[in-house]
Amino acid sequence: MTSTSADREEFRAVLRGLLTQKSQHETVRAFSEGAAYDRDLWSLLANQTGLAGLIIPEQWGGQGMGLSEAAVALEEAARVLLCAPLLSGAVLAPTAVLAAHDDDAAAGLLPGIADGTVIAVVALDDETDTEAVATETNGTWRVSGTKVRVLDGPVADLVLVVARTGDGHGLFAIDATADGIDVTQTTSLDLTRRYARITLDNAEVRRVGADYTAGLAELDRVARFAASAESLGVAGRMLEIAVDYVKTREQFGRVIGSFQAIKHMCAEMFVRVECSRGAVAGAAEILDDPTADLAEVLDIVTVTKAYCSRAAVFVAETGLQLHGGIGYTWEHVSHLYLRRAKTLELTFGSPLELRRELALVHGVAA
Amino acid sequence: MTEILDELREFLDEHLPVFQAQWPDASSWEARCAWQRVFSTGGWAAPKWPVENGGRGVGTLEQLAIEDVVAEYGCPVVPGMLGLKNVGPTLLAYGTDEQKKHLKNILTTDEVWCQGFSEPGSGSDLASLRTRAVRDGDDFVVNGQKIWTSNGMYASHMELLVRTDPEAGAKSKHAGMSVLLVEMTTPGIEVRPIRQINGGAEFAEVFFTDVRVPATQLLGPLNEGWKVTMTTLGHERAGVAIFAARLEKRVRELVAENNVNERKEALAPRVAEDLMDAYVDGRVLGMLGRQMLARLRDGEQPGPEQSVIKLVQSETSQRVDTLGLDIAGEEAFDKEVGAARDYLSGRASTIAAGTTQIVKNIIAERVLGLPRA
Repeated sequence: MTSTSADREEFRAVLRGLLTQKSQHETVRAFSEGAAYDRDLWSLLANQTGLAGLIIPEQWGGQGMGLSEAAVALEEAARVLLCAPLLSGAVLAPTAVLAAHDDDAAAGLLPGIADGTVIAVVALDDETDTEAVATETNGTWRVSGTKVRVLDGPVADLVLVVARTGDGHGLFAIDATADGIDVTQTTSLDLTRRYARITLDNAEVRRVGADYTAGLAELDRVARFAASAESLGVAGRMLEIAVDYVKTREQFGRVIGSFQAIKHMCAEMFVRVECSRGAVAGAAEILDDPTADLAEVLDIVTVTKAYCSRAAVFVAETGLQLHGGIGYTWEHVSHLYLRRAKTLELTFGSPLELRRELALVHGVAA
Repeated sequence: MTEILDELREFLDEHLPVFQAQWPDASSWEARCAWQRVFSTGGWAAPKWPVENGGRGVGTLEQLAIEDVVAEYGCPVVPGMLGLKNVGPTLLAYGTDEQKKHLKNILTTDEVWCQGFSEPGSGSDLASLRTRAVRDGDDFVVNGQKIWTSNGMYASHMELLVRTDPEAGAKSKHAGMSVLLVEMTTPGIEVRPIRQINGGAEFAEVFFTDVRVPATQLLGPLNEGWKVTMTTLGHERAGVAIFAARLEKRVRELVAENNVNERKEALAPRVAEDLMDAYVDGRVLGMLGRQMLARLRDGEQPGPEQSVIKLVQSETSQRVDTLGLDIAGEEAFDKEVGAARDYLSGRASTIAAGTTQIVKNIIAERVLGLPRA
């Protein structure tokens, strides 16, 4: 299904209204101090806005939207630092399943994700120097290995694990409470999100699809894109917060926003937000175009992630600076945005890694 | 759109080789004038002008697409650009029937126009200009000085912005200005070239001492010259989208040229990283430009993205200039061509058409709503 930009702006307005109301500063603050995940909120968002099944095809209970719509949802959620499994459960997990091209598995897994009753997460990163391995005996697959930095792992019902098989990579599904799986919450730089370390010890899993090499590449592209859309949301909101502040804070008898040094910092933030917006829109368009050349799609998505994630860190750092002393306090919201921005920058390919990758792809480095 | 571009290609396929055979060095002023005379016969030199005035009546998007094809064919740069793109549209909007007679001569290069806007004391702050025109009988008498006048050395005519009511200017800087159409041979006008850091002299200083300009040469209403001038400037705003596309292309070419297979040795890691940095920014700028064009196509007005593109394009292009010189290394020292010339020329991009600092002020004040001092 496709939507027009007018449809998307209407969707954005509805979401902004709802999320502003449901994810107020106190809620985010409580979560950052250790409050539990609000599963009722996720059910409510799933039921009222179809957020959980946004990109899941209609035949499996979803809205059948594309990544342009997902970008709107991710941007809006990041603006309010929504403490809910949108990126992991509604974007990455469905993408992981769909990229396996296994209709039977999709029919089994996706409807529960779409209606918000099942929170699914993707376990991608392995612990250093080891790789999760999947083996098959008499038609039963088992996985052993340790996955780290699993986003929303502590709240997951279903874990999608990427593991090495004899001839490549495979995608495997396992319930978070099954035998042989251990999910342990880890500390995280981003206080508005929870990550887990997941250990599988010869755990019985269900294989989803066949060889997952192409699937992994697609998952990678979507992850880079999704992180870019979130970075845009973080940057856009931080700019607003900072501009509002410098319009009211007075020193030396005038609002500090009238000082040219402050103006230039705000203008530089604005430039990065607008460039990020352009990049996310351009990347969404090419990702949703089934005829696009995959090498060009990867190039655009990589450029977008490299740009947007660094831009968001710049905007968050500058926004914090503009708040002066108050911005350095634990109580102020600045550091929550900075932590989110920095985490997004470092995950799914840091700008440094992505630039090296681009240099290799384009033959500028050997 | 494709039909008109096909027609243009047909025109260029037919006429460009003939011209090139006649003018082996197409970079001279005379050669460029000759090319404009050929080019304008097809209605291509000023495609946005109405058909009855020798144009094609197309919109901004078509004009940008036409410029792309012209660049692709490597046509000489037409010398009458300011007349074709800036003065012409203003004459069409405000000119009397008599004044519109200039249009035909602008097309044929019988008249070459420049614009007298900036002054030594009025660069970024154009509205503070001080060149005065005082009414005396049937004439205005002009005294003052203009600077950074493009094509000032070659021009036969000038669109001159002057202050006609100094008292109005005290209340609002934009009030009390008028536009005069001036022949450059009028007694009392002295033109001196300005030599730039790259050695060229594309600009002039123009001095006015008791220059008498007939009152019939007033363009548009008296004391509303700011509005008249802004129409002119507004005509070219969409052009930044083309700058964005050109920079993206240039960065992609620089990356391709530095493929390890094309070079004796690989780039130093730091230079390779800087190059990919510029690549990232160049491609993002390209996406931004394409979206601006798409919005124009949908009939929307360009918004703050034109300031954003201006800022990023100028700074990124300077980084690319620097990289080009870094990569060329010592080989670039003994000649002021190629990378070294680009590097020097590029310093203008963050100064011309609003310095980076002024554009940042404009974004902060007009877009973000921060208070003026």
